[in-house]
Amino acid sequence: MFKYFLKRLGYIVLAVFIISALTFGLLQLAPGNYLDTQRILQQSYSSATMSDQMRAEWEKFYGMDKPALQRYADFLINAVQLKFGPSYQYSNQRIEDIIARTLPISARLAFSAILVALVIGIPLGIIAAIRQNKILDRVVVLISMIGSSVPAYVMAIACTYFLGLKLKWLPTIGWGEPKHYIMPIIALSLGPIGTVTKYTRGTLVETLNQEYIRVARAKGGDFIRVTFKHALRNSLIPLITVVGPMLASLTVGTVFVENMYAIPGLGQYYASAAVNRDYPLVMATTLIFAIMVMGMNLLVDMVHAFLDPRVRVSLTTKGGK
Amino acid sequence: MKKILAIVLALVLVLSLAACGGSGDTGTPGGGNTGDTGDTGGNTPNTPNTPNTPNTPSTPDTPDTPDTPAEPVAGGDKTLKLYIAGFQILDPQIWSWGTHACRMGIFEGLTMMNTDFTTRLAQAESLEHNDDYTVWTAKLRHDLKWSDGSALDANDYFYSFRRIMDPQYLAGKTPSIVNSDVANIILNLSALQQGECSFEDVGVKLIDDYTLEFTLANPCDRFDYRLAESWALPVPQTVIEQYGDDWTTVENIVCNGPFKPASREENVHLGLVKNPEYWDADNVKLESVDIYAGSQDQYLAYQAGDINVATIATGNLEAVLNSEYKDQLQYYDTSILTYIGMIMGKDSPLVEHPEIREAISLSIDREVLCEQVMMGMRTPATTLLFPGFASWAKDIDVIDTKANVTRARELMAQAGFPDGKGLGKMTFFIGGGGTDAFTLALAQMITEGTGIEIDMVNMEYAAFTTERDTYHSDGTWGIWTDSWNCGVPFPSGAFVNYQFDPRERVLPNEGLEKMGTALTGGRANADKLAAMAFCTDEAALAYGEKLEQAYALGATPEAEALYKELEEMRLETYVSIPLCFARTAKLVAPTIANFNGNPTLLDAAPFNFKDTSNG
Repeated sequence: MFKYFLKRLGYIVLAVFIISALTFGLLQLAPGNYLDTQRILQQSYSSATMSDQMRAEWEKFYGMDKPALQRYADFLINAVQLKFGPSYQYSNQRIEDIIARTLPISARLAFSAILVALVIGIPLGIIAAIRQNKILDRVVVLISMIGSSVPAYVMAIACTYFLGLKLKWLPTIGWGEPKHYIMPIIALSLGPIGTVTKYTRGTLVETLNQEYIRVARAKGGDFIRVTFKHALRNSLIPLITVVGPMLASLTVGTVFVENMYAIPGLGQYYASAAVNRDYPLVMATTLIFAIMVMGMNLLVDMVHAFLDPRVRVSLTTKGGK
Repeated sequence: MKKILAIVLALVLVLSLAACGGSGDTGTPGGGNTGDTGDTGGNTPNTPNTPNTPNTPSTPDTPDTPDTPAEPVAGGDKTLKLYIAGFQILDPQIWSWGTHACRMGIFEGLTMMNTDFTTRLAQAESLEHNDDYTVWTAKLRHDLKWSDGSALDANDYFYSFRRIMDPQYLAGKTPSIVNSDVANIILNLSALQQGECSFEDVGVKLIDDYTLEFTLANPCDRFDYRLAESWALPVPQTVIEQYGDDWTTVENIVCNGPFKPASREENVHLGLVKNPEYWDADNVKLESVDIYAGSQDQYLAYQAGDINVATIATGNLEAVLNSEYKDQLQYYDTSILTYIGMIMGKDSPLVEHPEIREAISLSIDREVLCEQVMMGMRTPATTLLFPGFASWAKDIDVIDTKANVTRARELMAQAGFPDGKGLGKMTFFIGGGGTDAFTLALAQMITEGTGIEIDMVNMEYAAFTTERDTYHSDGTWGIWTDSWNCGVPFPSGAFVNYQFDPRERVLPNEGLEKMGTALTGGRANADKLAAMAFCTDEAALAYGEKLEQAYALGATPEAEALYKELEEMRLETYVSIPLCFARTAKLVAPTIANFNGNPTLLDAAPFNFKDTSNG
């Protein structure tokens, strides 16, 4: 297993290197640059009247006066030490500080949404599986389908309208207090609730039809006891393979919701960096996101293998040797 | 089993709530009212110490809306809650939207601007000048303090001026001084920024602990206004030296304005409370200001009572006008100009045939665009200079607000392209939002007026900013639209740095190629001037000569007379065609008084917080 783990880790390092090279190359090819954007976007003549001396100082500060290859090499060397330098847009902030401040916000939001999804989705899935093909099952399936289909930003608007404006239960703006998390978490968790419900129902129905469950029931086992002790435990293990990537994708994919609620998460910075050609910030956030997604997949595989011996054998025979 | 399940679910719930735990500093230390009162008067020759007049929004083109704000009603919680475009960096000397937030009330300079762009004395107790406006002397009040209670005097200002003027201090950052035309005004400042002299040679001198003297390169009768700009706000040397770039965090920041930061959520919320050490604290009416940033729906937040001033998007305007809030709606003109520029294309017919440029302008019905298409959220522009910055701008009669299609067709025929035939397709670059009603209506008007077929190319804005200023050797020719704002509310500010100079675009191919490199490559002003030297167009050259004469006269009434001629000259070239000025609609709670929108700022953000009250 350890060998397999090291091998996967090696792939991640290689992939991160390739992603960084591709991102850097694409950014070099992309039309537009920060100075031109600022010169015009900020609707003032700020950069246009910046003296040649000031501009030279500016370009030197950001290493823009060096050849592209050297800039990339410098970036890699610094990135290994988790130093990404200052952002163009937030010139008094270092990118590693921005990430350290904003990534936990996005991650906390995603983690909370997943927890809510588990708390609601698993029981709903169980109910649907137990009441398979009954009216309750159909209602739950319908709800989970709606949950999976409605985009988070639509849910965000609905939350703001009803909970913020009509009922006045929650503030429509602001950030930092627990009450500010409620609407974004509702908006973000709806999709995962649908997915968890469907997945739980599907695997539980399959398990309930397994022979060992039928035998347990035939031997006079209590339905509830058999379902929860034997069937559910085996059904929930594969859920890990869904929840892990879901957590990673939610962490990097909360841009719409972060924008709608003005949440100072990393997604918002990422979007703004791309629009404004804040290349150092784009590079750093791309790498962080890539590492998160790949790291989460690796973690899920390892946990899955730890919990399920069949997976462990499969990994070590196919991928580890 | 039930117990286990219950425990697991309870645990998950607890973890979920724990994960939602607060992360930000939301504490708001109370702001006592213990500041010194001191002398609030001042003797400022040539600087009207006028009372702050509330901004009177111009008459909206929509029914049943008051022309002026009504008298405030009783109530109010002494808090102003509003959105502005941002507050990234609270260092007034580094350009960001935070610079404007600083000037609104966190820092205060020697003078402070009124809503009519006159000034009043602020940290200075007097500001005097010599007869020809080339030497200005500021005497500071003796009761000034930083927000931490330490004394503030002329030495602090002298340090601040050195920090912002000498490029070595803010290397890698965009100093807010680039937002002013002051580099061309203060003696040797431009040379310092080009690395040609030292700060000691610049016309800023520390006379004693309470006196500063400014020597100007050219006369400037409104230098008092320049001293009210962001670049002239003082910054605390000891705090900057102690904390470096972190000096502007809520924990570290030391300021000198009527308010001080008390809480902050990055990119979301900035909480200000009254600064008890401010010299005029007794006259500060608000206890706190909550500033929000972001792209949220402000109308929803206003209805929910979470903010008490809201900028209304065009899409929400009709809903507001049909709601109970319509009487709270106020309109503010801004100086943000939308205009047509020319693509720098090889063998562009627009360079060869000025008649086509004029025909394009004549095709456009600016009144229809502004009043019908944009529902009164724009006002027609017939000059490139915002009329609010010069009384004579409204007298200029080059461009009409109505279209003249007959004349446009005549000009097209005169150019040898009747009904646009023989020209081929004209490219129209758009930087995002290309399918909006305004752009589509504009394109349709041009096609109907000139007969020219249009090929619209919609780009992401960052790509657009480069494409619009690139030389296109592949046969692409045509126009683009963009917005521009003049931050200095005087004619000199609108002509600085060759803005809208026709020589920039009416050039032979070689000149255009060099201009493209100057604008998007090196971007050095010297390169831009070198490219302009290729110009052979008589009208553009005449403009260039007169512009240099105006620059030599400085910011004086004599120069202003030339600027009027220059405005007419550049309009007659139709190289840059004005379309409209942006207008902002705001909902202002009826308990709020003296809320003043600054036309030079996006969405008419406030001039200051000091004059505003809410109960």
